[in-house]
Amino acid sequence: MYAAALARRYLFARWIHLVGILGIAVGVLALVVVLSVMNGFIQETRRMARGSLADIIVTPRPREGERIGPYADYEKVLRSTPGVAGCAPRFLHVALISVGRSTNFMRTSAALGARNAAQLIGLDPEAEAGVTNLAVALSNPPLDRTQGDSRVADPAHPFAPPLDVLSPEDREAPPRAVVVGEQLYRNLRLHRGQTIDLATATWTASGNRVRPINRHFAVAGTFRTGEYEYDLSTILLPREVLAREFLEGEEDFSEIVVRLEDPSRGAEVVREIERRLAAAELPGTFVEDGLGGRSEFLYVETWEERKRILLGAIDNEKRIMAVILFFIVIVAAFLLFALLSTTVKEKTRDIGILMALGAARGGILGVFLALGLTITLLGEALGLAGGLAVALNLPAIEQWLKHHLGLEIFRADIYIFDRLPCEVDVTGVVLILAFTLTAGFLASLIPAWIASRKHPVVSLRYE
Amino acid sequence: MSEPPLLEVRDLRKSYRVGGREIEVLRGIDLALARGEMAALLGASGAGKSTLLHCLGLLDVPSAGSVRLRGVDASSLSFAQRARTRNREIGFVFQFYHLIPELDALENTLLPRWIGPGAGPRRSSWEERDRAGALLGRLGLGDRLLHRPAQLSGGERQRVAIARALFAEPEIVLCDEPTGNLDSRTGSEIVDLLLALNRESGKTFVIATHNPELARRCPRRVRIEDGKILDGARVGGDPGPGHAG
Ligand SMILES: Nc1ncnc2c1ncn2[C@@H]1O[C@H](COP(=O)(O)OP(=O)(O)OP(=O)(O)O)[C@@H](O)[C@H]1O
Ligand SMILES: [Mg+2]
Repeated sequence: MYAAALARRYLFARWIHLVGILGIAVGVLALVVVLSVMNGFIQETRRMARGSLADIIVTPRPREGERIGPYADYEKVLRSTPGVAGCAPRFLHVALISVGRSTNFMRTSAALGARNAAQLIGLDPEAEAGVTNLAVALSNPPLDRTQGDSRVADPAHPFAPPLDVLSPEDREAPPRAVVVGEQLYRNLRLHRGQTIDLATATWTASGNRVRPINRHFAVAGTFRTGEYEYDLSTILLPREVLAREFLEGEEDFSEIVVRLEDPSRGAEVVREIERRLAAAELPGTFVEDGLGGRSEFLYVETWEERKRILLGAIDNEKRIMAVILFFIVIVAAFLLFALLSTTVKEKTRDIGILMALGAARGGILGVFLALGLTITLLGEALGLAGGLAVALNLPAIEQWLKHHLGLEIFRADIYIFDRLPCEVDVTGVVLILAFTLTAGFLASLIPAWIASRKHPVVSLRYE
Repeated sequence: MSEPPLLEVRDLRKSYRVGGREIEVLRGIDLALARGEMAALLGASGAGKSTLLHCLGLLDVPSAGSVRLRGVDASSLSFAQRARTRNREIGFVFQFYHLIPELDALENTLLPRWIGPGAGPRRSSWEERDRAGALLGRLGLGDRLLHRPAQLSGGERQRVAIARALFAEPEIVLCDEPTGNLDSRTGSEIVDLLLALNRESGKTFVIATHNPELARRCPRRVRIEDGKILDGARVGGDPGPGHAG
């Protein structure tokens, strides 16, 4: 076909066509970059949430007066369930933190938004290995080194007393050690070896009074999952310490994190675990029968279910951004439409000439359709190249902007992450390109059709 | 039965509506052209010469009457069929050259072949390019092959337009004031060229012109006045060499 050859000549004959290419490129670039960031958010959230939670969380819910445990009974059932790769017990509690400074410091820092409360997670480091990413969180280099390298001395034994930094008198009889989330550590201006008080409460034996419990701990170091909120609110300690010191050994766990052999089969394994635990008639695993609905007492959920609001929010944001950004492409398509319409007008005489030389309507249609598609494809190629270049170098670009222009694009204290995540989504990119191509095709079709309907003689006489 | 004339119009009428009024430009033209004829189409400005050429070249549809090519009524052809016929059988030379500004002389010459079925710029063979080059060479443009129209003089452009009209070897060449924009010397050269081409190739030429030299040297002259052929359908005698009678 001569259409493509002529379209190529027309493309470079009018510089204004470059505007069309740029318009489409900008749309594609914005889409690729923003959707990569949103996708990065989603992927990073999944990775983190999954890292600290494992694939499935089993939370027995005891009825009034019932006590859950011992863990070994539950572990036996879980380990025998097909698809389960491993599990670990955890104990969850909350505590107020006192850093042994003046009450004035506490009040001011609270007024400034510092957290003086934390979620306590009691866990077994050996059991966590291969189930959660605890080891990774413990060895992640700290983001901010102004307070020195705050990591624990030995990630394999995070709760070993930090003998290297303890005061001589503490070294004699070292207090029990805790590991603090990095953001919390920074927020409270802690340092390794410092002793802190954790205060919590329990019911009296009679069951009608709250009794405070206060214990002394040494900060062994920090961990960083990368989930800002989690790192700001969590203190880890050995499970048996938490059970013994704060709950007087009544129960030995509150939830079980489970690693699956195949994470995509989560829903299936959840049902199987529910069934088996209920059949074992362990405390807190009673499943309402009858309608076959989910348990009223036993909560077995995948980490995605537990984080569904967060994941759903980001996913929803991604959709909204996509819709907004697709409008850029649509505007670019309108631009292309306008450009091609003026080109068709300018080339009216050429259209008459081509028709006089025997071009059929389809041929004329082809010339301008090819022109529009060439502009679209060049714009897509440019936008894709630019978008990928930006997306793949986003952290560097963000840093550059921060250092050279003082533009802080990403603020870790607002988002759940400490770094701007970015991950190119191949399906998304393919969708963007297909959508843009369709928009470009439709925008070219009308001017091309108008060109093909022109009367040969009227076109030839066109001045 | 005698063979039908190559191109024949009968009672051809063409009118335009402008502002609610009907303007009749052609009011019943009868004309027959035999193969190899060379006819000058004369008439005052606005007489309808271009209009008639457009109808002869199947570019425009008459309001009434018929145009027959080898006995086939053009009004029975679809737009696509007329386009194909134009591509194969008819070459146009326009008063204002009407070259494609983005293509060079060689490409402009090859354009009818590109448009034609089965061909394309990629597939236009070296043999074809050689042939186009040779044709342009014959027209004195051997060293202007890669010039764009903007880089050519008016006479050179007109010669490229002639080369384009001839390249696909059409049976009929319709020229609309081919010397209209040229000085008299260049005009004469073009006239010589057209006459020589007619003699050598036996193609049929219809040339609308105001150029008296061109009119005088054409074997046949047709004058339009008042929307009709004034001098009768056959002035200037001899049908061309291709006509067997
Ligand atoms: N599209 C149109 N609408 C209305 N009138 C038209 C149209 N095209 C041509 N005409 C009229 O038809 C008449 C003949 O025009 P045409 O171009 O055929 O003249 P011509 O003989 O070629 O003149 P010239 O020698 O100046 O080129 C003119 O009076 C013109 O006004
Ligand atoms: Mg005219």
